[in-house]
Amino acid sequence: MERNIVSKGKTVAEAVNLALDLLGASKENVNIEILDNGSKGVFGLAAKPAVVRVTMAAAAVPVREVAAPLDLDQLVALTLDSEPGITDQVPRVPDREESVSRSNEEHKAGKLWVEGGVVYVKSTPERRPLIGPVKHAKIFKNGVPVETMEPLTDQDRVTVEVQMEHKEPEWELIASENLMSVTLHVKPGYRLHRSLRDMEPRHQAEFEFEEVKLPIEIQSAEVLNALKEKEITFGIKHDVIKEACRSTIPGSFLISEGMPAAPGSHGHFQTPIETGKQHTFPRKREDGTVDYREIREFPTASEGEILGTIIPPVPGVPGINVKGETVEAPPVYPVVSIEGIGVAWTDNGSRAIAMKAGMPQIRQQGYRIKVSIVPKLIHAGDVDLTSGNIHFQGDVEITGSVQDGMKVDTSGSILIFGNVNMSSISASQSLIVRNNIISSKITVGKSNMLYAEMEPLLKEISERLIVLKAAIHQISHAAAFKVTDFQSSGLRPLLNVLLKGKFKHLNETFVNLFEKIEGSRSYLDEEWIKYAGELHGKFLNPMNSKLLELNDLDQFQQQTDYLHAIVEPPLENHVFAKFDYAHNSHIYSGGDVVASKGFYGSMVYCQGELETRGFLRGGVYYGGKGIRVGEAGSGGKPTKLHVPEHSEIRVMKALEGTVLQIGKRSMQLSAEEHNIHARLNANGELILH
Amino acid sequence: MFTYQLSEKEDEIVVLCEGDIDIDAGDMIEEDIQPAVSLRDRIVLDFEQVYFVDSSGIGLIISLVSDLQEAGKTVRIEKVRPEVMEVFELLQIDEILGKQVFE
Repeated sequence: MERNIVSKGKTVAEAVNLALDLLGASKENVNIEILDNGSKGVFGLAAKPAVVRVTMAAAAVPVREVAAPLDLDQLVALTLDSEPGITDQVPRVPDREESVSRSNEEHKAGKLWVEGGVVYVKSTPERRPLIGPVKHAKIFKNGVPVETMEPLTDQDRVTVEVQMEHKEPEWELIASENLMSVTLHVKPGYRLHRSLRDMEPRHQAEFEFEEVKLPIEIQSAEVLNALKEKEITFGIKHDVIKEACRSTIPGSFLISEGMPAAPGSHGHFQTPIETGKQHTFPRKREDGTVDYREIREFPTASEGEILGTIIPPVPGVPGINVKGETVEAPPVYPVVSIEGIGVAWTDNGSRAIAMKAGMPQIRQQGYRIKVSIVPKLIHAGDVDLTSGNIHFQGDVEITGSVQDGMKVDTSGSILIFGNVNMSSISASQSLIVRNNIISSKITVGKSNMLYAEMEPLLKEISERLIVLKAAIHQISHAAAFKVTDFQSSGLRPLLNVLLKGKFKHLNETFVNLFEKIEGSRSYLDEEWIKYAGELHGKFLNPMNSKLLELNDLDQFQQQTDYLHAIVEPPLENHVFAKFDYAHNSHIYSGGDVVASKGFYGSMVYCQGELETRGFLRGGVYYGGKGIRVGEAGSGGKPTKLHVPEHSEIRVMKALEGTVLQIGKRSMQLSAEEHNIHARLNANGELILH
Repeated sequence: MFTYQLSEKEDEIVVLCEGDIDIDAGDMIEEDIQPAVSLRDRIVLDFEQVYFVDSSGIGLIISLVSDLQEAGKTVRIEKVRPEVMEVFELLQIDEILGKQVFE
């Protein structure tokens, strides 16, 4: 009877010695087949055992019978514990079987069982145990594979060759596009060892297997080699690589990281820190909202006062990518001053000085800064029939009140010490009324509103001018087109034809914008008025005799782009209207509206935030950036608070019947509510708290 | 150099244009052609012999045709050479004067 044993050990010699021990044989009496030479692995971690099959030469089979071959799995199970001496138990198996079988003769009759990985059979004339194919293993009956159910006799030798599973680990190195990091994606490998479980005697075999999954580690040296191949040299994290190689679950590990460049700062214009007793610029609260409470008047500068300084840019610090290459910091730009009215630049154009008294106006557009002093008109006393209406290019201060049907229009801000009574106030910038607004019409931040209307027109003009220039170029190159009259008449005849035909729509946009600027002259700066003049002279007056050339179009395009850049971004221009109390008035604001005491029966439309610690009693209130009020609602008059979809309404106390609208959702309160924080939730439903 | 000939037919007058319609042709178009045709209801501009145009000339033609159209006349421009037509198309003259002018 041929006996063989598959054994493993750290080295081939060790595996062979173990097998010889188990077989009780010496090297001379066996055939040795090396199945796997094994490998040492790194740090002894990924070691692969050496595996050998040792077969007894037929003549040398010792008398002591071992019923079935031991196999690898049995040994794996044993060597896993790696306690010396455990292997000794294996040869005892047959002895135990003998004694057990004797005491259980009856119980075992006609059955088969498994003990210690060996299949035993006890057939009787009446009953023969059955054996059949099974998953995860090959069953041999006398060396022949079993493919269907087969009966067994005592003479049949059954061996079970358990299948192993083996999956090599997979891994991949991915460098980020900007070469600032490398990720190691791993899918760990494993070896699945199975061994035959003991089975109680039964008529039909139902083999079960013990499974042991052993991880196969990734060779970190291979990973390091791959990094070298990819020329990755910087920021390699060896500890993370080790961890990734040992991981038993699939995952991604950041194994190398570059050092990002530290961005510098652009140049900017810094205004002097206010040291005066009153705050003249609105202060930002910590939650990002603006505090108007301390504002009593607008900032003024006196002659010779320093308005601010241009701070030069600070370059960033370059970084290093994973290939060890330098990564440049993003470029930084200086700000450049533009000549403004009433302001001189000293110290090589870095310091702005007021040349006359007035309100400083600072406007930054891209990297250009324009500081000007807006003239200020101080009107002592009331504005009434005796004083007449006020129209002024600049700031206006009125020490009294504005009375009965009078009008005040400015291109700057307005400060009124008294009340506004049945009048009309229009300020391109902000408005402060120290007292109340009664039955009046108020418009503030008019320029913000105008900008919003002009932005699409300027954008269209800028885009279409490019097409217009391309069209002129194309026509000039047409075979039958003579360009001789360009010398004497310039582009105007051609432009007239184009604006009548192909660019009719552009012509309409020109007219539209021109009329808008002309209609709002008193709210707009000089540069807009100049632009409107150019627009009219170049495009809207076909009889204009001034020669028009291609570079005139380029120049006009530049002016258009400049103005577009001013109106395009949301203005960091804190325009606001501030007063104590508004009664029965209409208020439009391109920025915020703040009332210290509250509103009664008014209509307020503000693009910024509407805020009062007091009350809203009756009327319609819209706050583009939200509404915060102390108390809302009234017993009789309907009160409606409205904000757009992404804004919120906060009310300390709201009376029954108050209507809250957010986006398109609205709700009328059926009872008094406190501490309302109304907004839309993720499902677009209006929630109150 | 621009010249023209008028040929009267039963119900229309044909202006046979010859030469370049450009800034130099302006006076002739405004002072001679326009008065000569403005009493007729149907006017045909024959462009078979027109080889070049410039922007001033096109402007003049547009104002001539527009004026006549406003006075209730029917104007057609015929036999336009392909190179000249290319210029007209680039400028979308048919949009200004109406497509029927070129039919």
